[in-house]
Amino acid sequence: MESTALSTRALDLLLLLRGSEPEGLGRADQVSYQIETAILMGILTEGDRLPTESVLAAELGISPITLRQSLAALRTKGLIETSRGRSGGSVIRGQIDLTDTQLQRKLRDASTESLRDLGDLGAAISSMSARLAASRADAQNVAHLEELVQRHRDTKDERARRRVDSRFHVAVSVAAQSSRLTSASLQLEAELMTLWWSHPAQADSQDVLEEQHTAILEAIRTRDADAASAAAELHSRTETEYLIAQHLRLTMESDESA
Amino acid sequence: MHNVAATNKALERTAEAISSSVGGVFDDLEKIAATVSAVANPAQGAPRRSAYAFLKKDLAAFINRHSALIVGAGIAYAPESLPEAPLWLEWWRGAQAGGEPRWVTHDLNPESLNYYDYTTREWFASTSAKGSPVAVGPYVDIGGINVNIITLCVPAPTPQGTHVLGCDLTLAKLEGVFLRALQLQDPTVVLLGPTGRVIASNNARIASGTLFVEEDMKRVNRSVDVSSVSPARLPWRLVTLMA
Repeated sequence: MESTALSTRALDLLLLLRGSEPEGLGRADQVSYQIETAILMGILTEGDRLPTESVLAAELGISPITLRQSLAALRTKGLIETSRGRSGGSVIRGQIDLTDTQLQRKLRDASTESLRDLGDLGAAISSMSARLAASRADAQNVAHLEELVQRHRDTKDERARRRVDSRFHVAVSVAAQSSRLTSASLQLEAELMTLWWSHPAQADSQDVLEEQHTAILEAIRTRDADAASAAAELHSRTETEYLIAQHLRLTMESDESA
Repeated sequence: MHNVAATNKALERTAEAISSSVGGVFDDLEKIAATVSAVANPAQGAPRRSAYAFLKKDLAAFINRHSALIVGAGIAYAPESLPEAPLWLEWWRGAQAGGEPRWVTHDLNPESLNYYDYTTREWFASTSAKGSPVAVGPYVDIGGINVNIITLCVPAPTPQGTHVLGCDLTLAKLEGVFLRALQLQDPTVVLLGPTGRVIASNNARIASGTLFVEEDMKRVNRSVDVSSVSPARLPWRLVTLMA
């Protein structure tokens, strides 16, 4: 089967997702959750080959037996395929797509207060990340950001574009050379990924988001820390407002009396 | 131009929905407070904590009955009123699937960073000072349940001091009551607490928990008290904003 070895960068991001899982899961379930989140966010994509079980188990800090349980759960869900032999191993085979109904319900059951709170944290993480990235991003970081902005513009599929958007935000934290900010950013994006729901009537808001990405990128490229921070904050606030507006609409439309 | 009559009707409907749901919770909490006051008989000296053991069951029933609106409830005893401890707080949180409410641990050690000195918290201090029911918040209850809540408080006066019974309303649940009653996207309608704190709104730019400053107040068009009967108990109002 077609596959490419997982890049070090993707593996690093996968490891940073640790801690984003809900409370009360066993170790094997935590790792499955971590990998599922990475697939949901597009960090792991179809065709990516996971490292060998012994290497991956060591990286994740778990026993090979626990890892095998996690992989078995992912296999059952059709997310990975495992083959035996010398060129064997586990390859990502599926993409998780939450249904519109799932996303809508999750967004409706959230509260404006919790969304605002999530947005506050997001604005703090992204504006500081962009500020630091403006002084620390090297040519390679900037090239990667450029590529993501371009890919975001070119991607037509709504969900796929949403994943690229998340990758861009995480990449800004990576460019800031801060692993704690990257980890916080990843976990936040993972949470947003389970809430984002696009209403067809608001498709034109896409242009606004693209302009804002470009503004962040330009400020980082020209090493203007204040502008980068302001642009990232504005972008984060725009996204939060969009989510809250959808939440308000969905709640008013629901007739159930809680 | 929006329809003024329709807006007025929506405001009335929303005020009524909020006031009757919150009012129902207040009424039941006051009944429990009355039983607490009744326990303390001056002739028998200060009751021990065990004298209030019935509260666990009563508050559990109360939490379950009002689970559409509240997430927890409890009692904070007046300082030095119990022979066993200078400060004592008993609080329970509702369980997810209608099971037994769980005990909430508060750190009552004055040396701790996480010390929950309830006597200095607004919900306790103002209720015991005023001696009347009041809705406090929204505020972030750090050391308590660590989320943004509104606490409905009722005093239970006794010869040993005023105990405070309270229950926690989450903004999420209250927002649901507000939006489903309102059914209006335009004009902007905001539910405001007494200090100008936004409790809920139908506009994504005016999020719960943010503060209305003077400039925002200038845009207020109409203002309706949520509870015209007992504004002291529920000092909230609904305002519409000019576009």
